[in-house]
Amino acid sequence: MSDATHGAQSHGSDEIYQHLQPIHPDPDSFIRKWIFSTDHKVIAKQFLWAGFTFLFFGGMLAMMIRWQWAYPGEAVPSFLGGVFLEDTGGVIGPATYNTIFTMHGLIMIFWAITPLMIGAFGNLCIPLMIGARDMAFPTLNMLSFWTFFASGIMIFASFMVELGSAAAGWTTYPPLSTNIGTPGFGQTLVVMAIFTTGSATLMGAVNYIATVIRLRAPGMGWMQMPLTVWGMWLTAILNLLFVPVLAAGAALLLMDRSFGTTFFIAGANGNGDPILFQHLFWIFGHPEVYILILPVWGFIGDFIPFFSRKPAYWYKGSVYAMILVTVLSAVVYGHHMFWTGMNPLLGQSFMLLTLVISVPAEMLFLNWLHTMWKGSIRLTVPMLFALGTVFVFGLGGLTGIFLGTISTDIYLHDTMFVVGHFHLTMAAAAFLGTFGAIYFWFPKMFGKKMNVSLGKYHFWISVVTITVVFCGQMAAGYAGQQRRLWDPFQYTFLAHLADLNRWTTYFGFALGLGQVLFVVNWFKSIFAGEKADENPWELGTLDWTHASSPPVHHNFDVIPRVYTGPHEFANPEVKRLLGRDWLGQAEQLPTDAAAGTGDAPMADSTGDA
Amino acid sequence: MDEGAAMASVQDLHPVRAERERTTLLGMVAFIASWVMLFLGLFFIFAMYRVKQPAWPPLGVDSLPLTLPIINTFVIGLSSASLHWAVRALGAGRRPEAFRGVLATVALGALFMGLQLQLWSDVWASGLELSTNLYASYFYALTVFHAAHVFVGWSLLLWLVAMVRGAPQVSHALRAKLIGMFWHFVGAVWMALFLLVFP
Repeated sequence: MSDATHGAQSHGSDEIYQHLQPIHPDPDSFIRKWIFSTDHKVIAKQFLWAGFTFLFFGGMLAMMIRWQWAYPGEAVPSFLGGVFLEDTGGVIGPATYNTIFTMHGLIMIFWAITPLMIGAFGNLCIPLMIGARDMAFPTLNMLSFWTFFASGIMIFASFMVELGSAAAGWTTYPPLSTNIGTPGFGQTLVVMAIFTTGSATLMGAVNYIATVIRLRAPGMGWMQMPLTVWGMWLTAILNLLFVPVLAAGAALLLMDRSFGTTFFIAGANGNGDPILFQHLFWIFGHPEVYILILPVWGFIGDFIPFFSRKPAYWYKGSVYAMILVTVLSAVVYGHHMFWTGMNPLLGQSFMLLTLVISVPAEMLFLNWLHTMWKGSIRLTVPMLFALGTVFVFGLGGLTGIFLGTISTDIYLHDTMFVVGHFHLTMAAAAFLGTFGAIYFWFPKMFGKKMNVSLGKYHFWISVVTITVVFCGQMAAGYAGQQRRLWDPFQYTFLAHLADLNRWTTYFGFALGLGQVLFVVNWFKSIFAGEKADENPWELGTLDWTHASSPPVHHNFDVIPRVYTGPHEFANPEVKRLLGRDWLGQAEQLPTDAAAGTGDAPMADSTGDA
Repeated sequence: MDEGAAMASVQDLHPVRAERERTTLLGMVAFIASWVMLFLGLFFIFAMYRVKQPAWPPLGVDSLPLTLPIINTFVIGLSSASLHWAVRALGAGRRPEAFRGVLATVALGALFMGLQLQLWSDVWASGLELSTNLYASYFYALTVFHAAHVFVGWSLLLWLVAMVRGAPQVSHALRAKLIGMFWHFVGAVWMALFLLVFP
């Protein structure tokens, strides 16, 4: 199918690609270059910095939650207690606790992972990897970031208003999220912020979808795209279709909060139905968890062949598996609502569909393992993070089976087991995968190398602590500890779990402290890092072979023609003729006479399979 | 004849422009897909609520008036037709004809919004206020949400009037097409909304 669209065209038609994306002069004013920039690489960095800010903020909230579970009712040390909880002398009260865990979840999902993973790396990678000079709609791209920025301001503002920020849990279930459960403007502001950041995500999604479909370099068929681009593209489709469903729910919830309607309020205060919100929320919410993992599957799908120096095992299978997961993710949302109550037949259908997802997930896992099998593995920092991601995602995936199965979910629902499970998949895998991407593309973004030893220490501390923290949560949940409890140990049947929780907290703190290594490495590398050359990892994708580090404003002086897939490694013929183990996507092997004529030699041996 | 003229004009375009226009149209299709999901979400909630009610409208509540919405269905249908005609005329370079078509669409759009205001004030005066009951709440929420989109589309139409009135530019045909897509979408949402809410 790929050849029909691009490959069959003759070289004469390449001319049009250069005209389709003309080279614009570099912006000369500071504002156009760094603030209201339409350059996808600058916007990627803006998302990166914004995401880091919120990651720190959400991380601090996580530390406060862990403190509360280790030492309930005791004053939080450091500036966290002294500045933010001044009124209570540092003690976290029940209402404050609700705000903390609610905002931890919302900030991490919508304002930390989404901008870091999708905003930053979607923007950076898609044009560079498919050979485009920018996104399809650069102005819309700029608008996307600034809309996101506005929503971030709303989040910070929500902490300043009377009665504090949102406190209804990240799921924002009514009636807790209506004025009955959380009066005050804070919750309203947060719902508005979700609506706003949703529009920012949509603008990005439209851009990603159109760019991948329309701006691929000549010769790059669908099955020659790096898996990173596949992950981002499928994520964009899910965002495009399902974020609006959340927006519909948010709009009605805002009316309930501000205009006195009762869509989601039942009982004495209205004749609405709170369950309806749950449906809308999870129709969005389940695709959302795949939104947060598909880009990571893309990253590691590329990193593993890159650093095993082997073509990806069954590349097309990985692509089909990701497409299958994207489709299935839209029809399994009911498994979040087994306890809400539903027709048993419907419940079993949702259970079956949910468990079917493990088939494509297994395909991906086997492909990753097969790719590594007998490869010349280079344990670079991005590779370590990719392997860590495979490990934590494996744990998270396996424990998901028990939550997708009704009979076990009945027991585990709403316990810390659920919290541990979704943190392993959504948080740990997204965290490690995104950090792998940061280490991987840092030389391209800044033209500098990151420190390898610091990176490796950062990896080992992160992967060990993050695994222990979330496995500790699952153990507590299996023992019966419900989630979201302010002081779990006031209940006698949970009192014996205090030690488990305290130890989990110690590992949580170590995880938090370990990130200092990254911060040091980051700033040191930006300001004093060793200069990186164009292709430090020795890879064949266009971002490394045809763009300087950092790339020029228009990325490519001449948009290259692509001949092969993204993982062309270990080809003996390439080794013989070029003396290296990789072949660029836009590179043709010289003939033995070194004449290098025509496009015949490599066109057939595209090693997808 | 229209057909032939439109075809010729597309072929006259520089191939680069044609390629770019395809990209822009694809972006618009994606945007509209997301709007479709937004309204589907709202309709889904409404339908789930409605099918569980023992009586609709609730006992003792008068049904919504039908005359104005039926008239409005024809108004917005006609406006889609006139805009379609105008966009085609513009694509073929027949600007006076396009101008008349867009002007007719603007007038029909204004009529739609006027009648909609009349409908809301009638319903409100009959005692069905926003928070009287959910029968009224859903009616207002869905129609106001839709009307907000009509208003956006109508503002774009005013811009289109200025374009068609001013000096001809190559970009006009594409912009007209994009605005047309949005306006047809808004019309289609009304049809669905009409069938769901009023009967």
